[in-house]
Amino acid sequence: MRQYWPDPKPERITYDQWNSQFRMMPESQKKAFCYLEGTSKETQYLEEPRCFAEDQGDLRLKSLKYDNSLASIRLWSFLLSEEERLHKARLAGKKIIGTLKDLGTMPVLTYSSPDTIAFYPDGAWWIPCIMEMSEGLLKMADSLGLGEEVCPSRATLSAYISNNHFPRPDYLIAAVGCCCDDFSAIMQRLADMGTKTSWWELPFRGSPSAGEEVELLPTGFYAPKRTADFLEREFDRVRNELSEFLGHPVTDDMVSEGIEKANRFRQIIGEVRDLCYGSAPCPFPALETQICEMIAIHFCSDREEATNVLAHVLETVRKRVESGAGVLPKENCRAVWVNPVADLRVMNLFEDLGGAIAGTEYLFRHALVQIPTNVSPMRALALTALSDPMIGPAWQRAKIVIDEVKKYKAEGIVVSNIPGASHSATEGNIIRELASKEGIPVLQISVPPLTDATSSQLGTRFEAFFELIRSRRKQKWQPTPLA
Amino acid sequence: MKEVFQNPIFIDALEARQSAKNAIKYACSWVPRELLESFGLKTARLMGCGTPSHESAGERKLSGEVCSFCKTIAGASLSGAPVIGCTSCDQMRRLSEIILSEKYETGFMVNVPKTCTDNSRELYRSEIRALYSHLESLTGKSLTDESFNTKLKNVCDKRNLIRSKLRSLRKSLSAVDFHCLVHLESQTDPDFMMSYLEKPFKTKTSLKKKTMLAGSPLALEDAAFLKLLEDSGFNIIFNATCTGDRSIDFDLSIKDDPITDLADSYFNHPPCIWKRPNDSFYSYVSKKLLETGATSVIWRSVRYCDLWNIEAQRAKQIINLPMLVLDMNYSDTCSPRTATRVEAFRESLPQ
Repeated sequence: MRQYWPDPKPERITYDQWNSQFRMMPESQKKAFCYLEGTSKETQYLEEPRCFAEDQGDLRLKSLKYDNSLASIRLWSFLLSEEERLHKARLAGKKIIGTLKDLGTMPVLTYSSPDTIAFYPDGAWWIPCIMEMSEGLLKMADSLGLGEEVCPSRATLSAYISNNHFPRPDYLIAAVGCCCDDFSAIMQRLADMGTKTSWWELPFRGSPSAGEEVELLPTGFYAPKRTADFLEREFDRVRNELSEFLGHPVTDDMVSEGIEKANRFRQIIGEVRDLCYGSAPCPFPALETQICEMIAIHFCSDREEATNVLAHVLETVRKRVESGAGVLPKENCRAVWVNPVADLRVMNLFEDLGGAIAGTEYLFRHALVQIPTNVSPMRALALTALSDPMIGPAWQRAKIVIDEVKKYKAEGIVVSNIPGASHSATEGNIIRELASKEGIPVLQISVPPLTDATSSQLGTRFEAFFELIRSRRKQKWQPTPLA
Repeated sequence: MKEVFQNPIFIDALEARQSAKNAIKYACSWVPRELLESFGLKTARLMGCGTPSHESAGERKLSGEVCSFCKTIAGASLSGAPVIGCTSCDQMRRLSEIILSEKYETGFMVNVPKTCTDNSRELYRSEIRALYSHLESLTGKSLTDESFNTKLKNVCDKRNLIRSKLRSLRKSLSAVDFHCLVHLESQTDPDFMMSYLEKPFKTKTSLKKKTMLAGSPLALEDAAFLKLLEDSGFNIIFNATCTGDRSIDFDLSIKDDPITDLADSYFNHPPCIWKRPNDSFYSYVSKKLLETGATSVIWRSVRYCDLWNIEAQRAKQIINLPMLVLDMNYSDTCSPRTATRVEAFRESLPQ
């Protein structure tokens, strides 16, 4: 096993503390981690956080709190160096594939070819937060006709056009069908930019009719077999188009190997989630666990190193749980968090005021489940894509959330709405309705890309929610089992 | 605007919508209503009242960030009649889902593909077949092949005839009358509509600026908006909304395999803006602009209708004609603000 610099006592630290700690680290340790390993562009990526804030303009880093482990610094450095990694990957001769919307499945197919890197330009929705609006992406989106009524993913179009935040992909693979209207319109605008685009249909996962042949999905839901058949053909079509673009076939064997590697990653993230969300005191903060989960969607543009990073996190978390150490007080109120937040600082605020994450549903549960290995690879990808919580009835997503509450013995649910997102407009109420039948308290909030102006309002709402949870503890409240 | 609400066709359409409360509702023009009618069901398109009060009633049920058109549907009281939902746009899908959650046994969701490939055509066919099975269990009718073929052909022939008649009347009708007729057609059975179209209709007289209207669906009450446009000097020569010419600009061709033929006819019918890629929509619109001689476009989306709203800037570049972009809720329909913008646009066009 690799030897790491010993971690200090687990705690959440400020940006300045984080920088000081980094400077104390031995040089040998700083040089220990590389991405694009084995290529001509192999690069060490562990950096002082100040570098990202000052050089890249990631100003939000200055007002966040971080886990103080080496695994956390590595995780953050890996995340924040993605843009540079994409540029270097191109220089190393890799083709860059921009996958859009499906959040998790298409990258498994694209990474199956050794000469490709896949990433989601959708991730640009966090840039306005990370750079504290200094980059002007939302202003630019306004000028492109995408105002505040559109969700923060509108930053994707501006980032793509400005060409300042990620290299323009060589090829786009865009999922439409059961897709938010705003992002569908954004994808149409991206396709105009001259990049070759393959569109594929992500169908609605309707409830099967009585007597209809069904397929069991990795998330435990059922889909009509005909829908799975259709999606399998879609994956096959995209695979052929990708092969044609790459100039060599992407074979079943290559995809099977890709699935095996993705499953290895997903197994690790599964263990990290179980340990983080199922333990008190909480061994790893909300912000870092959210990043771990986000990496699952496209491996942060380097599948092999992403797996190493996550394995390092797992090792750290495991040690902490074994020794009963944590980063938050044991009595913090445990809640399942629904939807990723546009402003990362909200996760800090939640913990500062007495919360602890005990389960999540960040829109991409299908990127966390094991991909079936007992069917053909295209079928396996189809079944996994069909597990997407966003393409089925909202009550099914609500059920995933309730199951998460039961699995990790959470005491409440926080539904963090994304302003302008069409799913947020209706889903929150459905989750609330199902949760109330189970006697689970729900807090619905709306989180814009920067919450500085509303943090005291959000804080008051968190405090009231925790008060409610604590009062229920006195009544020895437990969720009632589903009928 | 008062005279719009005294327009006899408007009144008939309004009454038809009210008396269609118990009809089986279909959420969008991508649900083949002829299939429902071949089972002997009375059909009506799911429509709300395009008024601020219904919009705010819907907002109370859903949320502020849902499109105004869907809000008006949610704001209306629905009877216990079955609903056939549709995934045509995300807002309609989510609204359908909420409505269907109260109609577990009777409702059905049609999955409408956004792509135009052989595979997505096959998906749509399978959806229509599943809808057929659903209707069999809903009505308890198991139609033999021959009787089904005959009934479906009969219904399709009648609807084709109605669409054809509407198309032929189109040029002579005012935009308001045509709009009300399309709404009336969406709420009534074919026999009623065929006899209704035998009536003489008032012909429009004045020569005005030929304009195309495109955008989100229009509620019946949006007749007032069309009246405002006409009074401001516009001749809405083509209404490219799914509640206008686009909804009647196709025929159904039923031959040997009725379900497949019906599905294919609908799959090929004039595309909506949400097709990906949506080149086919623009090809269709360009063709219509040439045919009709329209020299300007009014692009009207309802608030929070992302599909039409976000597309406006792109549409301006592709269509390359003077364009007025309006983003409205139902309080804006005839507001002074809208009137001023419409008049200013009219003034800006060459005489």
